[in-house]
Amino acid sequence: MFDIIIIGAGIVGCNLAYQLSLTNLKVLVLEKNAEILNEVSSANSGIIHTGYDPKDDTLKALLNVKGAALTKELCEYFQVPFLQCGSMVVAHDDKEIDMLKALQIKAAQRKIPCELLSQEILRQKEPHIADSVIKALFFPTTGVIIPWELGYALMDNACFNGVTLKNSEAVIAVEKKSSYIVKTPKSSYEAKMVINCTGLYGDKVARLAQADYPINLIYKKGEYQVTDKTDASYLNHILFPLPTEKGKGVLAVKTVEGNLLFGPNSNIVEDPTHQDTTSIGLAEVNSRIHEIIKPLPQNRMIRQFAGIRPGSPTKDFIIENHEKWVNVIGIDSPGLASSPAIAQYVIEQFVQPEFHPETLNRELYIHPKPLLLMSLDERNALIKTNPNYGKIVCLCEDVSTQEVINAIHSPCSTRSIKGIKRRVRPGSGRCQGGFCESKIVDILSKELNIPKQQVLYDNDNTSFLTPMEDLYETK
Amino acid sequence: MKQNKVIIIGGGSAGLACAIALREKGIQDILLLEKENELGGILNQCIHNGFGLHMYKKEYTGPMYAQHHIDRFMELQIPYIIDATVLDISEDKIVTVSEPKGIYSIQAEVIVLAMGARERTRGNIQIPGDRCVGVWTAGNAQKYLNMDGYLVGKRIFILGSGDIGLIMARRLSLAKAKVVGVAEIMPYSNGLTRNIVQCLHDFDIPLYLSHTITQIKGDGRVEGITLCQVDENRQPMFETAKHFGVDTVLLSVGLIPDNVLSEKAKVSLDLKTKGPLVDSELMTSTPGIFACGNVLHIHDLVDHVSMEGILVASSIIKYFEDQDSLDLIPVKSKGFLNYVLPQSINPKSDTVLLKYRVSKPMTKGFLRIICNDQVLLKIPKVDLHPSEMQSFNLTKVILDKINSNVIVELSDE
Ligand SMILES: Cc1cc2nc3c(=O)[nH]c(=O)nc-3n(C[C@H](O)[C@H](O)[C@H](O)COP(=O)(O)OP(=O)(O)OC[C@H]3O[C@@H](n4cnc5c(N)ncnc54)[C@H](O)[C@@H]3O)c2cc1C
Ligand SMILES: Cc1cc2nc3c(=O)[nH]c(=O)nc-3n(C[C@H](O)[C@H](O)[C@H](O)COP(=O)(O)OP(=O)(O)OC[C@H]3O[C@@H](n4cnc5c(N)ncnc54)[C@H](O)[C@@H]3O)c2cc1C
Repeated sequence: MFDIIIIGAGIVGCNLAYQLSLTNLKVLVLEKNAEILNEVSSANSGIIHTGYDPKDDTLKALLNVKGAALTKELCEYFQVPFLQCGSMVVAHDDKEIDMLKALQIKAAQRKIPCELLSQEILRQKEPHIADSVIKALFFPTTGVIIPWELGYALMDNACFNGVTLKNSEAVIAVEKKSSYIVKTPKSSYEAKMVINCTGLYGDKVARLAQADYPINLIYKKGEYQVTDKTDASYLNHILFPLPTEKGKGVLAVKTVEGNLLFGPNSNIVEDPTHQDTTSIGLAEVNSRIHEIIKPLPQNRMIRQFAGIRPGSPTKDFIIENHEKWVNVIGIDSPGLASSPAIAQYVIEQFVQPEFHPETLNRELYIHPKPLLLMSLDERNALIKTNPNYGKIVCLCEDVSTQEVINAIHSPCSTRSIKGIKRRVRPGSGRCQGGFCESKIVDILSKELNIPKQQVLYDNDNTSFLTPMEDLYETK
Repeated sequence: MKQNKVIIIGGGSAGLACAIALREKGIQDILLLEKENELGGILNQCIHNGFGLHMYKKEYTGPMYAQHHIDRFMELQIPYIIDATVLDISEDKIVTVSEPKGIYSIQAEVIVLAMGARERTRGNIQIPGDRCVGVWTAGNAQKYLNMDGYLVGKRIFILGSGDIGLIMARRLSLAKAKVVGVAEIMPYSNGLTRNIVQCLHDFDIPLYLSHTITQIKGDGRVEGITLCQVDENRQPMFETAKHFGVDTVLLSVGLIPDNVLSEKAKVSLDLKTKGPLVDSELMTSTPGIFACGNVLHIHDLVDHVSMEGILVASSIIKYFEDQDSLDLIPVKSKGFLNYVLPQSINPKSDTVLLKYRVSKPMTKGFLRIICNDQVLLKIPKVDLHPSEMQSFNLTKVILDKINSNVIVELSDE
């Protein structure tokens, strides 16, 4: 019997697992995919918004402002990158300048630092801003993170502290007795409380416990372009158009890794399972980005992707408790920036009154720092202990064999090519895995002690190699 | 800091040929660095034959051609390190390398860039659709098949009619996979004619010219693609959409010279070749840094790669004898040419091998060498194809007449 089962290991589930792991409660996390953080939390802009945008008196306003501060603290604590590059919201005409001024007032009320920049200053700060921009509101504290780096750090620590994580176990049925029996195709688990933070499937999972659960999520897809790192110095800040009813608009993000991200657009879709890009959507991103920046000198896109926002009909986060079944639903933007505060809110409102848990002192697990960020002396010291630190598997991102091995054996473990790509970056550079993918397959196969034909690309059922000898076998 | 007279980065055909020629010319202090665990480069995975026709008048397989050079390289006892990845080159020619024994810097007098090329990816050409497993570059699938012994799929569509794609169409058919078709966005094929015949026609694989993939669909694994005809501006005409059920898409949509390191050394690149700008000695904009092989421009034949490596060796010898820099004479292309190499002539060169690619197929054309508005040479050409690199030797007699900007022009009259 567990005290709490968390369903879903997105950024919300990871924050919850970590915060609960600092108590004496017995916690289980059930995740349907082979890798954690493989849905909404891995396909977004990665921005830690300061919280000027959400309407007054909403959970979004409350939790975003708090969450942004907590996110920065967490990143420092776990030593994962938080790039506080600042952001600008731009205006093209007088009407938009009035809107900037309204935003400025709202930001001041929420004690968020900001400054209105003149044409001259904004061009000094951001030379490649579009010619049509005439003013900008500058938010120096906006930051950007690699969502899964923070997520993995949280889950690594949760597991290190004794939380049980079960991947590849989708919750398909729930039975309510005096406690909850939560069923997956493999097994069933019992807990006193269940927290449903299943992102795009939040409403459906809620209906497993309460058949007439009334809320239906609204899915809005956003598509992105990723540029080559050579363009890193093209921008110094995150640039936004003015927010509209549809969302924050097509923006330009300077990422932690040094690529630029253009997007997302926003289109309602029926089916949350297909995070596909479309020619119309990409064309929309390609053209709308020029409302805020000048065209790049060379078109060097290395990747496109899409993410789907699980929007709620109320346009606010829905966080509610019904007989110890907690729904954390409708967590669309700024869900990433709010996530530590969402977890805190759930614990304060629902977990503490129920369990009165003890807080325990836990040791910190720090995932080894990437070699890329080390001096030659530091790297040499490691190579002396293990030559695999000297063997580079991925030239684009400067990743050694041993770093891949470390990721596979981290507390919350990684067992797919995509998981390795997220954790240690081989395949995220300009060759997109052309040079290194087969080497990652070798390492996974060796470390997990499985034949290569069982190595997963990302999810279950995504193994992809067929040994030649199987083809020629005659019966 | 360690020091070496010549450091060669990359142990493919270009690096090997250059190392061998340098040693044969008496240079002792050479170090070749190769990131893989064996020498030979891309040739190791090209198990088909057709290598060495020009240099040896023989049809070697890729590994045989490579072995030929590796044997000679070993015989000459040239120092090299495998599993050694060069991570950085500085403008003042300090090479940083990581290998199982450590990570360290070496001061070089001369650096030879011979890092080869990488393949253009799905992200580069922006094919929309699901992000499912089952989309690879053709070379990557070739590596899985020929080096590791694994097939990546059973029903395959190939986008791009480059040579690697064509060769993979045949290889996969022989490995009992079904190649459903090959599509090419241009109205003509981008592979060598012999490969179209031997790899597609002989296996009844349809080639869709002026077509491209507009969507990839699949839940977890690729399930199908949409193929559309394109108009004269290469824009898809969606009303012509056809669907194919396949589990794999292979991309053979071009190679890009791998110049990440060159950029770190502040070597200037050519936007067209995507390789370094070089003079007729194949020296880059940074004195003492030379380039040869696929890192310089994409080659269809390995023989030309080896010859480029040998040419660089001769240039290095000259460079060691005399490092005075003379004014370079710029070379520009005009007319139906994609590019001309070298981008400038060094007055030290006794002869200059001009290499060029045409921008469209032409049954006949005329190549003109122009200087000071005067046509120095007019050469008739037949059967020109963008997939086949052409070359022309400028002899001493012509070079003596060149004293300012040269224009190389290809026209149809
Ligand atoms: C295009 C886009 C841009 C965005 N940009 C930003 C931004 O810049 N800043 C910001 O703060 N926010 C942003 N967001 C919002 C942010 O990404 C989300 O709010 C956040 O990632 C939601 O996290 P989650 O944990 O709720 O959901 P998810 O990450 O989707 O996690 C849910 C998990 O539950 C699992 N699951 C589902 N069903 C089951 C089941 N039956 N059994 C077991 N497990 C299950 C899933 O597999 C998944 O792992 C953006 C979102 C999108 C789509
Ligand atoms: C699939 C394919 C089929 C072909 N078929 C034919 C054919 O039928 N006939 C024919 O004549 N030609 C063919 N060619 C063309 C010819 O073989 C190649 O152009 C030639 O082999 C390229 O040689 P290279 O030395 O320039 O590059 P490569 O062989 O790619 O060698 C580059 C080497 O540099 C190493 N390297 C790169 N970066 C670093 C670094 N940072 N540090 C250390 N080492 C590094 C790489 O690991 C590699 O070994 C084919 C080419 C390909 C790709």
